[in-house]
Amino acid sequence: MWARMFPFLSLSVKRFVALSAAMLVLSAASARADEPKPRPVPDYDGRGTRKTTPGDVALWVPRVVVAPLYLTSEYLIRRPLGALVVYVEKKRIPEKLVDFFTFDQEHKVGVVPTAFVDFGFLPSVGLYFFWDGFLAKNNDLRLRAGTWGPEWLAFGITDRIKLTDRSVISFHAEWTRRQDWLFHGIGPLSKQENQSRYAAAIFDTSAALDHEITRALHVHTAVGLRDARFGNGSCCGDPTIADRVAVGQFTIPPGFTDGYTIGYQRLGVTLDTRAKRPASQNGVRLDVEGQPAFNLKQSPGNAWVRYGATVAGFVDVTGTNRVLSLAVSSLFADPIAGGAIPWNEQIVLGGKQFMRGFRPGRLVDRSAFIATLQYQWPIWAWLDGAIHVATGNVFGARLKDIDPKLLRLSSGIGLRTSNSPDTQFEGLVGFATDTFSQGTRISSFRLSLGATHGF
Amino acid sequence: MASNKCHVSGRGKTELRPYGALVAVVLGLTLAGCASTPRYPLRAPLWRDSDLEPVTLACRADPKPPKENPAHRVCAPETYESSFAWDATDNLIFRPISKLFAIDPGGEALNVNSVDEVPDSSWFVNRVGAHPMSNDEIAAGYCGTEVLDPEAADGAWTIDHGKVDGANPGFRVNVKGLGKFMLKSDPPNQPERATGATSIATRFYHAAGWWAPCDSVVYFRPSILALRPGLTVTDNSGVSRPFDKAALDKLIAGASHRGELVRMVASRWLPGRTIGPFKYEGRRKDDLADVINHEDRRDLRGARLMAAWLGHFDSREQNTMNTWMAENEKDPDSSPGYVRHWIIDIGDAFGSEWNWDGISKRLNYAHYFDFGYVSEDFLTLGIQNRPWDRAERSPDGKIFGFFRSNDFDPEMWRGGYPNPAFNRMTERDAAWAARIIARFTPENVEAAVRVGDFTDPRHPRFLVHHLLERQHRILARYFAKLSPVTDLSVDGSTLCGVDLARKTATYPADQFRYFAAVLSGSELAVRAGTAVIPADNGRICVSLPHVAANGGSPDDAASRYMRVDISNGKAPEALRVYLYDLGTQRGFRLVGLER
Repeated sequence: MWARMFPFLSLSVKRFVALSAAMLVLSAASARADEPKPRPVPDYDGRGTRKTTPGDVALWVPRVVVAPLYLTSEYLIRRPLGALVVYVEKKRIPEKLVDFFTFDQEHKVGVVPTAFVDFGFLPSVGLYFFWDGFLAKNNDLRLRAGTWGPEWLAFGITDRIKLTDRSVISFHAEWTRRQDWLFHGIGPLSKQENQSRYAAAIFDTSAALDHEITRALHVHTAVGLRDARFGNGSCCGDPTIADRVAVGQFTIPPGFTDGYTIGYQRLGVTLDTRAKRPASQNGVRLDVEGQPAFNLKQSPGNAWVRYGATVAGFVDVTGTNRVLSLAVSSLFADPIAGGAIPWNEQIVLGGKQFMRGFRPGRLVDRSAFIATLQYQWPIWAWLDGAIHVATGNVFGARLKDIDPKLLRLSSGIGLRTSNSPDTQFEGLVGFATDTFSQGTRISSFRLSLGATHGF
Repeated sequence: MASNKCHVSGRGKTELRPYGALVAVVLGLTLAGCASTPRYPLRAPLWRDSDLEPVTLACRADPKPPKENPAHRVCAPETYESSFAWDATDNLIFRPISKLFAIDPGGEALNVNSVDEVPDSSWFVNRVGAHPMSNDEIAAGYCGTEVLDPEAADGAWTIDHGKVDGANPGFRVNVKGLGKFMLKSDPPNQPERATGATSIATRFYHAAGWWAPCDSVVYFRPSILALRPGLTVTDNSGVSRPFDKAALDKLIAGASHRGELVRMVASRWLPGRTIGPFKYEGRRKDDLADVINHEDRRDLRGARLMAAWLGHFDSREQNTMNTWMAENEKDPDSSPGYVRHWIIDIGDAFGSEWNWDGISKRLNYAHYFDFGYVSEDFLTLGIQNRPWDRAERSPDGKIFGFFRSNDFDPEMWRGGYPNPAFNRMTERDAAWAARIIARFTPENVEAAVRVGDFTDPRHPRFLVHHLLERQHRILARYFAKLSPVTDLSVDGSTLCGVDLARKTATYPADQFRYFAAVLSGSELAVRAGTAVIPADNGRICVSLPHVAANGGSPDDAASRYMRVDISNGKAPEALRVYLYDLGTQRGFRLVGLER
């Protein structure tokens, strides 16, 4: 065999190679024999090894069936991931990452990569910069930047100064340019199938003061400037506003063609009698807000005011933070001086606050009425489950033609953080319907992850 | 231990025909399994495990040799470094999923001797379970008499090392003639609790049988410390800072005080060579004595009940330690030797709190993040009121956080994250641990708690009260199904034992009704019922009838084999005691127990 395999070698060389190979094999076996062996398993109870039972045999049937799942979970996921995590921890990579993304020893200055996904809109990636104690103690600076290509850009800066334990003053400026905003028309009967996209470049800057008069009474005031320019957007295969207007599905909304620049003020008062958790959450909450605005570029003058109130009652059903609440809201946008109110300065429902089963910007008009019934319960530290049902809609000026048949439904279930009564981080699965007069057909599904405001 | 109960169901002929071969195989296996439950051999129970026998390991170059001996060689197992992040992540997420698909339901523990007990081993030594311990012995724990003397002269305790990692600040001292001790202080939000807890809990663990270090509360004057210059201390994120007088003063200022005296816990350095923690599953391949998967060891499974009793929720692998115990104590790195396994860092017992009440209230009831409870509460809209919804601090035990007995259910107790051995605890493993916990008398518990040396007299009273109540709940649960009768012995023709349930007054005395049956022969046929004579202190005795003659058949013949089933009227399962009748001249030999 050797001669056939290696005809070019001389016989002595072949004999030497064969002898060496044999010695290697023998010495390996000998080495294994010399290695100390584990002790034998003692016969603890003297009755020998436990015999295999029919149950032991039968177990192999399901084992074989789910073997692919086991092999995947154990050998393709668990073990490689374990090796990776152990390596990362041994090399202190998390600490190095934190050191890389923060710029001081105490990690008060740093930058964090961000990503945001809202189904039905374009995602974004970006950076978030923070600096606690910027130039002075109690002064925190935040910068945000996000993008999804050159037509999707967002920049923001916020500086927050804690004047006292009860007062915070903040300065804010933000510029956003996106082409995936949604518009369905104005009025209570706007249709889901009239979905269209528009582009907007919006600049907003403001100074605000938040003051806690008492534990239950808060005041928020702000003054600001906003400039908005609009155009036809493109996203997700949807037509533009111009496309819809061309076929007569709705008219160009006011303010769309020329845009606007406004100065505004905002004054809000919140009375919330609920104690801080984990105390019982029985209580009432009243939110009253007014925001006059003045169109700085329109002559003769064009001004309006947005105002509204929400009243809510909370019942802690068991005293252990299982809370049923009912909130009723009325919102209005009325002109003060001539000219139409730009459509996206009117009352807009959907998204973070009201009728959350709708996507942001779904319902637009001069006024709105919403009633929201919600149940919220704790499922973990800082994490609640929440389920809501709301009925409401937008209407003409001052709830003109309000009719129960024109109400819609919005519902959702999800998880939300519970560390603040005003702003929570929420994961929501929701749906919303046409009006009762239109058959209450479910016309909208929403899956969102993000901040929500209010209740 | 396999049950010898077998049930075989028959099937009609018409059903059998299509599956005849398969049914025949299954029936055959079933019958084979039923018929062959072996007898206990005629031999004494195994009380010492062979893993205590020293083994010799190959030597290798020391990766960190001492300066004075750069060619130093180590003949001990490699040091294992546990990954904090992976241990938590794996046990919370990936291991449960993988094990679900492995379909490995587990079984009875493997290191159980013929009398349903655990032999002494490198993991566990029968102490309070084998013989009563005095209050002084319990209070001494592993320390014995080797503790720090706070009356020593100024500068007698030399600080030679800052504390590496961990939650509580501290430093190491080296005391001439005594050795090294790690001193740790209390966090400010719970003064005296952590130092007291680790001192007390180590007493309980040690007395029960596990290896737990010498942790003792010590009150000392700061001038007893002498700081070696040039020391540094590294925090959890790997940042090193100098450990100088300023740092020491800050640490001392933050510790609990009694007047001018500083309170800390002194943890004596473990003997031997530390080689890292042990895992609660699998085996250590470089430890030749480690031949049983850890999750199948009764001493590790039963430790769940001990952790539940004391509220030791942080029962993860990083809070364990292995030490190589070389035969030559002067050279701890040499072979031969064996590995000893320790439970350490028990300072979380008795109500450790985190910075957030939302988490602290859930400790000992749920994992740090409990997918099961989160899902259940989400889907049921939070209908169920949970123990953490009711958790409150007691005015008499504020330093003990939310530790109490009101909502304590030993079956529902959960550690910080799933523990592979704890999760495989069977009813028998739990009954074993309960029998050990039952040995602690109220006086023993008070003696152990006194070691905590609390300033406020309400605190030891609070702790004793709740520990006794928790103990009672454990016994009430785990004496309810399997027999609590133990300490069996034969004297002449009388078989006696102790019903721990009656001894500890777990149930009202009038609920106990004893009866016994004797079975004998190769088929263990019922011979007769026999009276059980209860006596004080839980003791019971049964008269044994002879079933075999003197001489004739061999000592271990089937004809001499007998079984006595003893019931106490509470536990539905009788205790089965196996003996050989060697005749009227030589009496009976106890060879096995089944629960």
